Amino acid sequence: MAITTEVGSGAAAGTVQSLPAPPPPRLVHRTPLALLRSAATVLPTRLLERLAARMIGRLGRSHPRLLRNLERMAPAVIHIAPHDLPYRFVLTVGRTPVTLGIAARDASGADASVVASVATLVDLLEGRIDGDTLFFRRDLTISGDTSLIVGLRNVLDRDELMLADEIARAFGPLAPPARALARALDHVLERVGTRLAAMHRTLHPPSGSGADLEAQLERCRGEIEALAARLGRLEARQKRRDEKAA
Amino acid sequence: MSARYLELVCPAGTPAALRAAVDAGADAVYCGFRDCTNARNYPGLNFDPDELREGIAYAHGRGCRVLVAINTFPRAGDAGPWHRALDQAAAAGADAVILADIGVLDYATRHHPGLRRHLSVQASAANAPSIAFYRQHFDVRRVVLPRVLSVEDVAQLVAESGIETEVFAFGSVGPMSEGRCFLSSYLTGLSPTSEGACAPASHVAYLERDGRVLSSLGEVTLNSFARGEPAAYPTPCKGRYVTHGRASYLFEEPVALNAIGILPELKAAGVTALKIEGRQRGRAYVTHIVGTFRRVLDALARGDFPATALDELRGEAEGGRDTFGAYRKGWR
Repeated sequence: MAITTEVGSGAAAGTVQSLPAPPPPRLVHRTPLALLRSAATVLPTRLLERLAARMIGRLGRSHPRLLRNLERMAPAVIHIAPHDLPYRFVLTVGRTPVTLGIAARDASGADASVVASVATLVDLLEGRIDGDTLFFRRDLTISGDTSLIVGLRNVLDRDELMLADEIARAFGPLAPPARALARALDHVLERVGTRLAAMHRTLHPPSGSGADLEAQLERCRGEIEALAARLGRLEARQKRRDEKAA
Repeated sequence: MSARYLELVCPAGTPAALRAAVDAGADAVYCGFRDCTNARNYPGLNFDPDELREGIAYAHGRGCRVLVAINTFPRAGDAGPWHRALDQAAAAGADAVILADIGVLDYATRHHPGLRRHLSVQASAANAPSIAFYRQHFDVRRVVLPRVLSVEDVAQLVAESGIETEVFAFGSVGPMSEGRCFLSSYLTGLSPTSEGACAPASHVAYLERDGRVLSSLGEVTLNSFARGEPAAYPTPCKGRYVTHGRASYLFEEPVALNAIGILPELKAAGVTALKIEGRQRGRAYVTHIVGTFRRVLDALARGDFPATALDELRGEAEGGRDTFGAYRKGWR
């Protein structure tokens, strides 16, 4: 029987090489992130629920084997919780039909949960990064029944799933405008972020008079109101399109 | 591509990973069925017969071979799943089967004599008489060597046995007596050698407490990681145990084997093929590791070596660290 000669500390310590884990390459494609983040940040919960349900419905046609494998899993409720979104996703597997819903960020009742940033989860879902690597780096945490998360990861990794396509398909005939809308929403959200940063700089200027500050603040208020109005119009447009599609 | 320097044998836990390995430049891919007959029997992983057939067609269409691992040990009186797996691998057109148990080897020899047989690392054949036995009785054509040999040992074994050898080049390592390790069964009641999973996920748990992550197997806490500290699988051999008031890795540290820096030495030792461990890892891992090894092997065939490759795989390693392992032998 062979016994290990594997090195550890001590005499052979020099052969074990350690580095701080390099920062993971930025792999995220912009579109699915834009779709997800925009949808989850701006759209009402009810609409998100419907989109999620339609996405699962479409998976039956676009990835039938994936849906069958999800149905074959042990019956369970799995929470997928992006820590930078205001919601978590509730996936029910091991039964027909498999369902995907939306719950509050602090919802309970999961048999197992996986928590990471939305960018990390999208990378994982689309197969651009390895789940174990994320776990080793502590970029992903899991709780509850580990075998459910391992099983889900392996089932998802079997199929080349493109989240952007699936989300867009969930919009049905509105898929092309949905993509455009998502890009627009993401752009608006980015602009809001930029403006907020600008406002912060304005509020903490290296120098400047009170009158200048007042004027700049007023301009920022105007910008935010304009952006809010545009967001409202985009939401209304989407609502009309959605009602027309329904 | 330049002439082959060393054959690159790559893992595939799923059909998508198989395609990823083929596309990234694998010379051969190894995989297993979705049951207890292979040593990576994890939930959601592995192939059914139809998926294997499709995977083989994909690989063969691109000049890549497929090896099927049927490398666990049958339970007493229940060899049926292992025999069925052999029949299905042969029917699917596998290029070789990777076997460990002598009963399974015997069945393959008698029922599928034309199907090439490789000896799994699980058989733990680490000396010339042992290899000669398998060769004489079962016409084994290649031996996957246990991860317990130095480069010098490998060279001597190749010279003595005169058989094709395949050695591990990257992936998880443990202080195992290959194919004979029962450590995790004491904590889970499940045998790694006949159920096909060391530290099965059904018995693994992670708990956040006071800013640390506690990992456990069964009822036993095996490790505790501080915030930001690279984590590892909770296998008993890589647990952190307290002795004389100090917590340390008594058996093995969470670290991955990485032989990319000594490939010329392995080539000079007479090795035929390099094996990448990791059927339980995702297709992103497969693409990254296989692609990197392909690039390095092609460079070596041209007489170059991309020095940057030495560090680039460390991020994928368990515990964020790598080692030459037994190839540069060093006892504690």
